[in-house]
Amino acid sequence: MMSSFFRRAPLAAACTALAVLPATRVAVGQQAAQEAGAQIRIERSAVTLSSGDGGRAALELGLADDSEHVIAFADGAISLDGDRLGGYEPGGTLVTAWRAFLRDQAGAEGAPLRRGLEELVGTLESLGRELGGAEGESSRALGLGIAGILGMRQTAAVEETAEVEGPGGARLSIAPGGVRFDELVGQLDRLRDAMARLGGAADGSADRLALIVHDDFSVDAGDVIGGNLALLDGTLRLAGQVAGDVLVLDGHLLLADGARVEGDVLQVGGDVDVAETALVTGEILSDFPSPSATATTGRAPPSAAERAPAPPSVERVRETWESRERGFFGRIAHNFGHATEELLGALGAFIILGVLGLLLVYFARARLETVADTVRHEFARSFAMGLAGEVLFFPALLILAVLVITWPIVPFFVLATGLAMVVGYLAVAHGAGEMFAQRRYRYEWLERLRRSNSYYYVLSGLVLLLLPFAATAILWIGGGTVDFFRGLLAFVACVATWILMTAGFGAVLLTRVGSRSVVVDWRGDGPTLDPLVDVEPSAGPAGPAASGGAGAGDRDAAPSAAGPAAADVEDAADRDREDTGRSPEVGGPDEEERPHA
Amino acid sequence: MPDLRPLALAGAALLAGLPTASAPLAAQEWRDFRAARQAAETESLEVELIYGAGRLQVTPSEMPFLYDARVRYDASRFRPLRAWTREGDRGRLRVAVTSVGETDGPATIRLDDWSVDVDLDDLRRRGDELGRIDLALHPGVPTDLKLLVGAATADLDLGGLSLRSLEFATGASETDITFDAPNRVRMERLSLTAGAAEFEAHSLGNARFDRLEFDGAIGDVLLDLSGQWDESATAAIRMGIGELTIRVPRDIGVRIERRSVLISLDAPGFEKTDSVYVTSNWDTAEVRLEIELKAAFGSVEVERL
Repeated sequence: MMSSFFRRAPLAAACTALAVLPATRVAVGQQAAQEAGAQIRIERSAVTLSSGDGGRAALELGLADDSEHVIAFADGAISLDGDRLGGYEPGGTLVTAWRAFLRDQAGAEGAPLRRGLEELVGTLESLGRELGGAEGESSRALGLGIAGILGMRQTAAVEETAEVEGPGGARLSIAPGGVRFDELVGQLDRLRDAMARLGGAADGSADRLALIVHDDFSVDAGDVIGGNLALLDGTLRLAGQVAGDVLVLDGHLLLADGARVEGDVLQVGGDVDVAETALVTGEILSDFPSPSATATTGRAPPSAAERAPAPPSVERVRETWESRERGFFGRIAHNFGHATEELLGALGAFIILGVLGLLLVYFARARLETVADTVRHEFARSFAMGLAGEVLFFPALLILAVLVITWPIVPFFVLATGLAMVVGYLAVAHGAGEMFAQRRYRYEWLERLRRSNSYYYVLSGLVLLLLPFAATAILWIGGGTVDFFRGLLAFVACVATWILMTAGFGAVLLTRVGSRSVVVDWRGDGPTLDPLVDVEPSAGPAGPAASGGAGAGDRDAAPSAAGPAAADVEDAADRDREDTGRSPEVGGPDEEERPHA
Repeated sequence: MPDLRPLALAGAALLAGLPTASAPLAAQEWRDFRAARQAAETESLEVELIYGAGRLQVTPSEMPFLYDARVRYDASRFRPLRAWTREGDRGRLRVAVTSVGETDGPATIRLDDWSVDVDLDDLRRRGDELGRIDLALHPGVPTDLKLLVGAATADLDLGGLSLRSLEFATGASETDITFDAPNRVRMERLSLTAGAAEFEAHSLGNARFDRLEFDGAIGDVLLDLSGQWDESATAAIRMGIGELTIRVPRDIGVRIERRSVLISLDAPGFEKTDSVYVTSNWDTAEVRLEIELKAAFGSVEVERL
């Protein structure tokens, strides 16, 4: 709707208006048109505030036209440039308001001060009505005086509006008068473009334009605008009622106490102040360039003057960010990125391996413990076995590949080897966790970490094994200065992981996936029992699998972890009995499975 | 069923290489958007907000605004969205910031029946340069508030509001929720979900909730339940990996039921039987808080203030 209006506005409106307006130019205001928008800039200001009832409270202004003005409250008299405007009650409402204004504005310059003064003119006017009597007169006189200095049109002079025929034949008013509709078409165009940003919210707003305000104006209490109102520039003090929306392109909209807007207030520039008891039935919606490019807390919408330098400041800030990226902060961010990535990698590995480990403990705890014990107590042998396994992996694969008929086995072979590596690694983690748990620590927090079951062994062991990787990741934060150490640590971590994984792999092979125990007590002083595994060293039948690997199911059937412990006992017994220095596997393993360290 | 959105968000944010800030910035075009409405004739309010990345602040509004949403955004990459509907005297506000232009990896964030597209690329850049949303809500209008934020820094100052329910879910963020004054109405449900986050909630007792649900995935979490307690409540707290600190006031009775084995729970001043921890004033206390605690790994510490 609105967009359709605006789409045709530049053309249709300009054409219609140009054709119609010359004939309908009516009631041009008394003020000469050249005064329109002739606002005088404030270049300097100074505030004097003396204490005491009769103390001087003065504002000095230096304007762009080189004129200087002094507005002073002193000894019960209000003066403007030395001329007496009226009197005031010491400690009364008027002087209190004036002093409050000066305190607020102290230090303000230029546009903000001008806006403040413009508002003050409105306030003085209403204060004049409220107070009545001599002080009321003084208040009004002061308001008129300030308006005169600022080149503001005085309310009395600008109340006249020009009524014209708008686009589509509807009647609309232009305030203040003295301006032809076609002179405003450019601004209405800008309003249309800017309103498009507010999207659907602005629909239907401009079709019912009843009043276009292009300079300082006021709609008093009791006045009703029968449709939408557009503020293109200037200060609009609205105390009356608007039946439609208020559109603000620029300027300053002051919704005074008692003002009522039935529609929305749509703002694409300028600023809007809403008094406590002003009522906007719809929404207050605004969208315009930020005063500065950094996202600060800035709550107040910026004025046109404050927004003016926005483009260069956007540029400046952008450059700052770019140079930062190439500089110190960029590198820090980069290093943190690396650290985070690698830490997450380690965390991911921990989570995946942790879940696998927990599943393994749940479903095949006895076997895992057997493998873990083997790694712990027969590390060298396990490592040698693992190394042999790894060395033989590719030749074996080659043979399987060459013997065409064995092709279907290849995937299983690869998968089984991979699984064996993982299980081996988890068994190492279990073993490491167990060792960690068996240690006594001086520190209470470390003691609290100690737990004595296989789940904790696996998880804490994984933490221990992955710790070097996490440390490597964290070293990224140090940047270039610790590059060497990070490389070294990463290398050590990788080598250590390979050694441990190989040993684990070897132990898996040695124990036939934990189905039999091969642990030897090298110290020869009795069976090695895990004090923390739930052991009851029953000499039950759960002995080592007797015939090479066939006892796969036996071990699982053994109650909990009694298996490996019992196996240890028997292994030790075997060793004592034989005492030949030969490896004591009962199962008589294949030759290749016995590459003694 | 735990809410997985924040985790997904966290994952997305991390995949996008959140803190790397390596991509050169295109020209930025900062704009301020504001949508505000006075409270007239609205008896209750439902607010839903989706924010992918930036800084979010929620506070009570200065009178007479029902809501006052201010969005600072980079118009070259984002666009603010706000939708207002009213049914009778119940209003509903939706606020979001969506990615615009050419997006090479848009992720869609969903909240109930609406969704917002956020370019993963835009999630990379953290902090203020991503813009911000300042949302102010009327203290006196009963409100249901839903906030879903991705890689945003959230600062929620909710004391003195009239929240009937609060749902807050965040992906990878720094969150600070404070109720520095009592909530003006009872809150039926207070649901907090955090992905990979640094999460602090202060004076949650002032929220006056009937039920608190907290889901945390990874991170350091502080749940300070001090405040003005006038009625009993229940809480379900689930934590993934990380450190969780719960603070409870000394004058209410607290009972904690530990629902998982793999956590270290440190609750000095509580009497323990099996997996239940109870304060000594449980039988006599007029106001009681029952906590159901589930955690995967990590430590939980309960302090009595």
